[in-house]
Amino acid sequence: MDEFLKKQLFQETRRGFLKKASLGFGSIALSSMLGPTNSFANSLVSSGPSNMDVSGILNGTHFPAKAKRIIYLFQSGGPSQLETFDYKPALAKWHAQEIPDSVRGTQRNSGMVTDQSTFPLVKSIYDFKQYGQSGAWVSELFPHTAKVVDDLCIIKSMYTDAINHEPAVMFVQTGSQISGRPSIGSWLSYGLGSDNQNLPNFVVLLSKGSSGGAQPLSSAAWGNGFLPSHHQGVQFRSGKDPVLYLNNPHGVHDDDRRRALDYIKDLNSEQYSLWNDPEIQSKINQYEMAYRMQNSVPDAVDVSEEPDHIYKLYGEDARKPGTYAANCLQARRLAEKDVKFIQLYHTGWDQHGNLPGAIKSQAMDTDQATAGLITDLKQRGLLEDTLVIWGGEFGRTSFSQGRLTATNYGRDHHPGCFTMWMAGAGVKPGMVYGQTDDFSYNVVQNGVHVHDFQATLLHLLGMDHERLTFKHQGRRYRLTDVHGHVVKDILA
Amino acid sequence: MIALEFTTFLGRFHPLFVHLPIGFVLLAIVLEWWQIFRKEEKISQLIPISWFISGASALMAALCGWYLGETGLYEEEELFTHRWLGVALVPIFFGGWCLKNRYASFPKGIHHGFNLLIIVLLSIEGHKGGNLTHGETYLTEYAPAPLKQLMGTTNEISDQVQLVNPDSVKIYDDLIHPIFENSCVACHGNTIKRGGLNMAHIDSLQLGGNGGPSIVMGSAAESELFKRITLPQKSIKFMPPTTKVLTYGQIKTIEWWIDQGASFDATVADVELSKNMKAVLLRQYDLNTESLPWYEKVNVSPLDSTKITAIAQQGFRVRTLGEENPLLDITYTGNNLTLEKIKALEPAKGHITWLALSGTNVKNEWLSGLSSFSNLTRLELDNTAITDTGLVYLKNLTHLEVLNLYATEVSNASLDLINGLPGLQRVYLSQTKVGQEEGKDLDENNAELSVIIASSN
Repeated sequence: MDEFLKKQLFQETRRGFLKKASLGFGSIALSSMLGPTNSFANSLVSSGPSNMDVSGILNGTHFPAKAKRIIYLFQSGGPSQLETFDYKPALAKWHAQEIPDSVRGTQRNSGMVTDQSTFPLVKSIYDFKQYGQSGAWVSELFPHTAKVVDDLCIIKSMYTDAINHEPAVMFVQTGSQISGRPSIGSWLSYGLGSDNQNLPNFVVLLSKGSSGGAQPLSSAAWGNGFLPSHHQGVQFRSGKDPVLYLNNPHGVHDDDRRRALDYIKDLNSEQYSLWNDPEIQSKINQYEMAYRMQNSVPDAVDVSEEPDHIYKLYGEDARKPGTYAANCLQARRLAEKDVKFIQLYHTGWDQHGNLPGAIKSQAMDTDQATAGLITDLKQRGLLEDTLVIWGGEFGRTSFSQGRLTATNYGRDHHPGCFTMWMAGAGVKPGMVYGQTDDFSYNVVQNGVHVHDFQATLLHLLGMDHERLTFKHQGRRYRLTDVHGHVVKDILA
Repeated sequence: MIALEFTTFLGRFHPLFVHLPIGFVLLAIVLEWWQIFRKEEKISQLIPISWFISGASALMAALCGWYLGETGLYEEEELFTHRWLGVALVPIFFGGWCLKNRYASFPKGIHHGFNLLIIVLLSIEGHKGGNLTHGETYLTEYAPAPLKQLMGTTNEISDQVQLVNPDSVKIYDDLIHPIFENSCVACHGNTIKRGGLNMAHIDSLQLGGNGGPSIVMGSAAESELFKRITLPQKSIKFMPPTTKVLTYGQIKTIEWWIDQGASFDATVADVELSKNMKAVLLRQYDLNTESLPWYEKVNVSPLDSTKITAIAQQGFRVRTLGEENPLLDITYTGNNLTLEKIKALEPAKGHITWLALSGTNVKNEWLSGLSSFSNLTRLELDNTAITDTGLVYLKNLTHLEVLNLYATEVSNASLDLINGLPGLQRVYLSQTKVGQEEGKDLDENNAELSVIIASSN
């Protein structure tokens, strides 16, 4: 009881104390009269932090999860929907003509085009064809992706609130444009816990686009925000040190390291029993995780045993550490090891000018590996319970930014509509969802807001997005804030 | 029509008048009791006056209320008590006026009894009225859960039944009738039959109204009922004529029901469903018409937690499928599987629906224990040394939907067995001894089964 009481006292806030002192006993008395079993809130019988780590705060899913893990192929910079999946033949007629006011409406444009006196519409320089049984249109930039189109659920009607990179990336990844909220992977780690005690729950893999001049990414996009810090994404680097500072310093023997960790743990535990600060528990968890990772990470990133036909599938780039293709292969390996959330970022999709050339090299970076990943996951049966997501933070304008010539043009940021696709666990394969107008400027049917996408994502993982909350600074927060509807139409 | 509109106009004043008698009569009663408490000799002149005003305002309230009830926007059964109790209260209030006017001529007991009676009647009347305007759940909707239990109400919103299985959902009873009940029956019911149409019962609905039958079975376009709900809203014939018009989903559901023959007994599973209709049913009624996996259909009671712990201690990761789904998802996470460990799963054989033994040292014979796992829907044996001999034990798993045999030693000899599994939807056979040709053949010959097999090189 002593232990229990102390724990309660440490978790008490000033406001909470005053509230309970004035109302608490009365309300306990009342509720014990009405229903004796409910007198005490569940939080008093919650499981300790160590237990929480395995099964998460929810202690299991709300309903059967279609997806057990996610590979999110984030295409950073805002890939143009017009050159990839959103085929607009009508733009050929309108090519080089001014965008009608009725289309442009009051939608926000970025400051980068405010000086422009003319807004000529521009058709895609790349051709489209229909593929697969679903007959989805895919651009010639993505010949490999086109082959797996029957496994994809393409959402053409995504829209977002943000118009610039940093806030837009934050919005997709954390549900808020202002950085500092927990990212999707952190929420999953917090809610569902871990399936593999030896690897982090949430792994981040970065690669640079070969079109160059990419927008920087801030690590807040995989940050834990106000959640305990062991829920943050762990970045795996290419090269011989995948996780920095993980290996023992030169000359330190493994046994020494273990002994040191044991003493540090004792000291930390003592502090924890004194202060009950959950961050101390996080620290202990992280030290132990790091120790286990000394063995598990080299094993996880070792691709030397991968056969040649795998490289044929992902492309020869997959042999070069640090490329998008290598990361895709890595992602599959981590998925096999039950890592819950594998977040890839590939930068360089920000084509304000010189779009035709730049987007082509971006496509060359990613197309084969993306399709290879889908094929590989599918043949291994992993697509059964792994969800793959492809998409950026916003779309691009249907009018040209800068001068439009016969072979060159650019496109500015466009939050009004963009394309994403999902594949695998729980989504309908071979589906094209949502519609944009003839100019790919406005959503005209089945719009999917970023919060809807996030709600759907949590739903696929077996969680009700309204019931995954964390109380911080006096109110309960969610990934979807106070918004979001599950897009039931795309659920298989 | 004009007359009707004017009475409706008057009717709308009901909420204005209705609170006056309550206030005045309570004032009178409180005043009276106060004076008795103070042991004053004579009662105040104000008391009979207050009673008179309450009688007069009650008369106004009853009159307006009568007209309001006539608009047909209220359920007849719910209206009945409120209406007649309201009418009865008018003479009772005036009776109170007479009573209090000659206060001394009656004993104290009569006065107290009368006051209490009035309070009880007013409470009932007020509550009934509140239910009519705000709905029956209004008062208790946000009551604390224990209080709700005491009162016997539940959290569930009663007008939308939880529809689960398409073959148990009756199109008319569960989908169509509730629409009629909510939007039509108030004017086209047993007591009020506007246009001669009564939609409260199947027989009377089939009879139609003054203009003939309202429904032409099999053709929504020719049915008067469907025409009326799809007219331009400004049209005088548009139904329902209130602001609560039918939604797209409701209209589509009615259209689909009529087009499919307007049957009164058919279930959703009985009739044809277009892609659009599936989407409508999903959005409007949360009714998923895609075939559900077995693990969402079967009902089992939760497994004893000590049994779950025992399994977990053997090196298995054990998860229940959800809060309300006690089926188990089990993965072996250790690195040395033994027959004993497999046997430890036995107590949960009816509960295990997903089982992953991927990458383990599982042996053919050990699978014999799995043959009685009646609710197993997903079995992952990939990256193991399982051969055709092991698969034989699986042939009775009628609910098995997904079988992962990637990178095993399984060969063409097992294809017949795989083909014979009745529930199987997907089987993964890449990197096995199964020939590509044979695998593709099976895929084409069995419409229910997808064989996933990639070229091995």
